[in-house]
Amino acid sequence: MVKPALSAIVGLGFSKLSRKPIGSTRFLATQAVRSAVVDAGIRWSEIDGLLLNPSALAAKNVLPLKIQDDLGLRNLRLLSIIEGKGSSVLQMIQTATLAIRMGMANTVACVFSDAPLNPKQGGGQAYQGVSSLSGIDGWEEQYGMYGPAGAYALLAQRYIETFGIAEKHFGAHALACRKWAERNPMAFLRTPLTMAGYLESRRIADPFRVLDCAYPVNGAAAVIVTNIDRVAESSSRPVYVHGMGQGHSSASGIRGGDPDWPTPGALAGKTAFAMAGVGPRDVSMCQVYDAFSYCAVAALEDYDLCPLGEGAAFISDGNTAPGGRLPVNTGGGQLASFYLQGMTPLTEAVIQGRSTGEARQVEKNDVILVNGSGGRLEYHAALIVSPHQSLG
Amino acid sequence: MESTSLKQDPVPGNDGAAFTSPGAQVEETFARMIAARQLWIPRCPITKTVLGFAARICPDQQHTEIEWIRASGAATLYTFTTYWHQYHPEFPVPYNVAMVELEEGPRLVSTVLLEDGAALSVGMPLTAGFDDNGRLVFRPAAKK
Repeated sequence: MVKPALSAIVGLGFSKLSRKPIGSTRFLATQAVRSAVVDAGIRWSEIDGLLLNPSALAAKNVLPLKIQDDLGLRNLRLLSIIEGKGSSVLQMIQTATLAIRMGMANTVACVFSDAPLNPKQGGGQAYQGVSSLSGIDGWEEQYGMYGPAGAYALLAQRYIETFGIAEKHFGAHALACRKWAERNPMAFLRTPLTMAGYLESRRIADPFRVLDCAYPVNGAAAVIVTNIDRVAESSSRPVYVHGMGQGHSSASGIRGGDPDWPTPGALAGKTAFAMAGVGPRDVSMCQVYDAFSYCAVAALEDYDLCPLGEGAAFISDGNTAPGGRLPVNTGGGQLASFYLQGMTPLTEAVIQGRSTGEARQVEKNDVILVNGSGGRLEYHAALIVSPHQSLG
Repeated sequence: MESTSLKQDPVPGNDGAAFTSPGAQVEETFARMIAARQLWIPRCPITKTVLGFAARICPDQQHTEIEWIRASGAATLYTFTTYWHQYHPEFPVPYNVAMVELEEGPRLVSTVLLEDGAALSVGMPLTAGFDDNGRLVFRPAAKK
């Protein structure tokens, strides 16, 4: 039986992206939504839903519901701020799709916006908040466990020791992403990178170097999700949503004996694959949330694209780089293109699904797996998207 | 930094016997015992299942009381990271942040105090103690 798609992504828009201050989070969000509406070629009046995703690390109210007024949207049938840490962007698409399927809305704009960088605050300061794993107030702070880097480093170090892999294997992901970024005019880090260059880069929290960490920018991205019956209203090439899943498990209930792997991403994957009627072997390419290099390794294993413990070797062998058999993060990912959290993988999936990737376009784009993860790989969401209206 | 082993640091008036607290007060109870330089472990009073430190309820969802038992202080290094990026002036780099697994099961973020030149390795045996600031810290266990 051929299953039709669940929804279609018909618009894609960015604000200006910059390392310098270019406006408030709220202002950048309006730019991205306007750009996405223009890209979709739809009338403003068709938008009857708006979903917002501010960074979980941003100050409160930087992306308020009142942004509907900035956009001149009235009589919205769906309006909400979605919070699921790094899984939020894909959760927006999922919420939009569910609302569309149930007839609550027809065409939903989904936007992520963030302005973490200013003259007083670089990437290190922007992401220095203490990571809490224990849930005990102030516990991690007394040990100087600053930034998400430390929490992810603990998991990555455990991974290295458990599976006996070399530290430089995480570097292989940074190198592969840089090769993709060389082909992406929107990417910020496009100069070729060698393993020697990677190994010389500044250490942040072992095993992570600065080149294992996402490259922060100020900016916003938005997509327009619509009913599959309405794609004809749009002038753009639709990318269809076929599968959706989530998986969540708190690392805070840390009790001996709890396995670290696979992460709850595996649960998100099972649900999304089953819904789409495809399996890991059918995946043409992946766009993964890689705020830290290790996250890409975990994603490959969680989504059963390679066996547990073999993700780093899979990347080192060139499988995910240009010309490899499973392209991953074809725009350069969060390490080399730009860190717009969940929008980094999603926007690249739309570009690849539309076959507008030019120098970096992957020929085989039938089944694209997109993931988002956050917390300390505690919160996960996944999508299966495709240029095809039906799969199989 | 000097550290004192748990067993050498008794709190007067406390005989080390298990006691219970409401599940909603698990963080406060834990912090109160740490302030007394004691490490205690939460478990379900009925099933005796050891809980994680942020757990408020037994996995069977039936018993909302938490029973506390005194930790032995024995632990192993579950994982660690060494910081090289200086985030805060009070934490000059390099310094380590460790996740330890207590003998009783739960894991905690802490740090391992090392002699100069000593290295960390996952699985190494550790012993709990408190430093001059009252922080729970760990040191490599003395060889038997």
